[in-house]
Amino acid sequence: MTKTEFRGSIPSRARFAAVVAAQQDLGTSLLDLQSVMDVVTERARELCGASGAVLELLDGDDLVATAVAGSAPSSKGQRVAVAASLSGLAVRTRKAQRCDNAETDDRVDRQACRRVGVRSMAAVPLLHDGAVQGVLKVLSDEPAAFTDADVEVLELMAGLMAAVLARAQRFAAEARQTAALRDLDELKGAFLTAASHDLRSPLAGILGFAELLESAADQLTPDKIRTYAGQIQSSARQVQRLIANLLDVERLSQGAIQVRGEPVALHELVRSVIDGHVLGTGRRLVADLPAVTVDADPALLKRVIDNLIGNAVKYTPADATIWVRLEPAQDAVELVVEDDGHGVAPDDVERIFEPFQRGSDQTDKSPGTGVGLHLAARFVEVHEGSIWVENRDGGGASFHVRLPATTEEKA
Amino acid sequence: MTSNDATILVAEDDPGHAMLIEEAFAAAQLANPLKIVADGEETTDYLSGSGQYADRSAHPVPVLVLLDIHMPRKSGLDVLEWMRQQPELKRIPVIMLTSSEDDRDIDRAYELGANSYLIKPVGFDALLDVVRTLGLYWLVISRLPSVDPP
Repeated sequence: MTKTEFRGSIPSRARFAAVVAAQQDLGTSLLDLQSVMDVVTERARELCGASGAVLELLDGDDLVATAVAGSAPSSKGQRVAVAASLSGLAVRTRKAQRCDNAETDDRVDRQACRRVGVRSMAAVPLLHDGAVQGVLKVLSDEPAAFTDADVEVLELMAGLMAAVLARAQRFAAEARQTAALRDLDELKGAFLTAASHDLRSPLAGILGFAELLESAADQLTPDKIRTYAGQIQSSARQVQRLIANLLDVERLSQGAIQVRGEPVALHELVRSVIDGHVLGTGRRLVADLPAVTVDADPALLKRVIDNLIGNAVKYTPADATIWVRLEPAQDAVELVVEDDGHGVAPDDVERIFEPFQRGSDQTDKSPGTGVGLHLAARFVEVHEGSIWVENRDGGGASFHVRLPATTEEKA
Repeated sequence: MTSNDATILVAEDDPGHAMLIEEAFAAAQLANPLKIVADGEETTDYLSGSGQYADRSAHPVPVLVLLDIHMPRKSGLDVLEWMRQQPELKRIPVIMLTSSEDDRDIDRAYELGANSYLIKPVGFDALLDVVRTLGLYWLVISRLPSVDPP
């Protein structure tokens, strides 16, 4: 059977009807993109009476053969530079291109066509909303196998394919978005579980000591009463800090954090944060705070310091020492919070500042929301400073915050 | 009757909670010496008598262990699993005392050989009730295994 006979057997009106039928097929089919492309390519081959058809999709500077029907020189996945070939010309000109005789047409590689036995071809661009997505091409081993009517059919099929591709791309984008939302949802769920534990633990402390003070006040020494009252305060501050962090995470995610720069006496701010922490019996804090002023938002900076010291208190053993130092330099000031606890695992040095992350050492063991250090990092970032952690010589973690500051010695 | 030198080891990372447990033992008039350790590694150090716990007269092998689950460095479940593999420690009764109500934690704890799983109550009076009951059951009614120092 020759192609001419086959083509002749399908009158033009019937061919358009076939295109409409194909359109209906695809319109109601489920979106398995590869089968749609296979069907369209095969239909295009049949309707044009071609020996082969190829659907090539644009990927960067290349055209990639994505669906192949009949006997075509290209195999699936094969890449051709847009700059070469008749397909490339169709992409560049955004117009259908027809080659009636590969032997005499300068636009095609005659040697290559001879090698694969192609004499004539037609290539039309896949256009959707003015963008070229690829090319639908039919090939024949006979010269002048394709007519203007064939090109019209091919254009209809290409338009159809372009619309399906656009729909599939939209669908894929929506699926990606849904997956991202689901991930966020899971993250928030895990975060809420951690947050509720973080709240419950200090609340249990508050309630426990309050009940103890009430029921045993007569038997307790003044020292113990003071210790237990201190425990209540420290637990209540923990709750307060957690709530502040939760609100900040929400405000950060909505982009609602405002930075107000003003001269801040950093040593006084650090001192006031230290005074607000109850270290627990046995833990020591050594502060070395020379007077230094920075331009910063005092509320945000306070939260940075608070989270760093809170972190040191939370993750060091009961008999640990915590050092807090200010190190003014010429164009910057460094706040260093160190401890002689267990230090930071090498893998966590970067990760520790990411949201909802905590040291891998703690995973599933010591619960926590993992937002404190993330917030500290974000707040340092808005001050155009830097934050990092290293392991201290002699064991323990060493957190550094460097603020680009107009250091100004004050008495 | 409780023995005065039958030490109880309490692994609890929250110093406030540890203090409350101590007060509850005192209020329940349980005279057993309590030893508090603050993380999982300290717990295994104590139990194996290594490092700062090498002196067994000051840090005797406990007759009972109260284990929190969520602790830094080694979880209570890790400690339990390790304990059950130590010939000298594997028969010591272990009571999980934790705020985790997660079924997976509960199941895992019993699989690993926990003798009891108690949810840490909120409030001192409720804690006192639990400690009284625990003391009565484990230190008065129950016969405990003998202890061999490792």
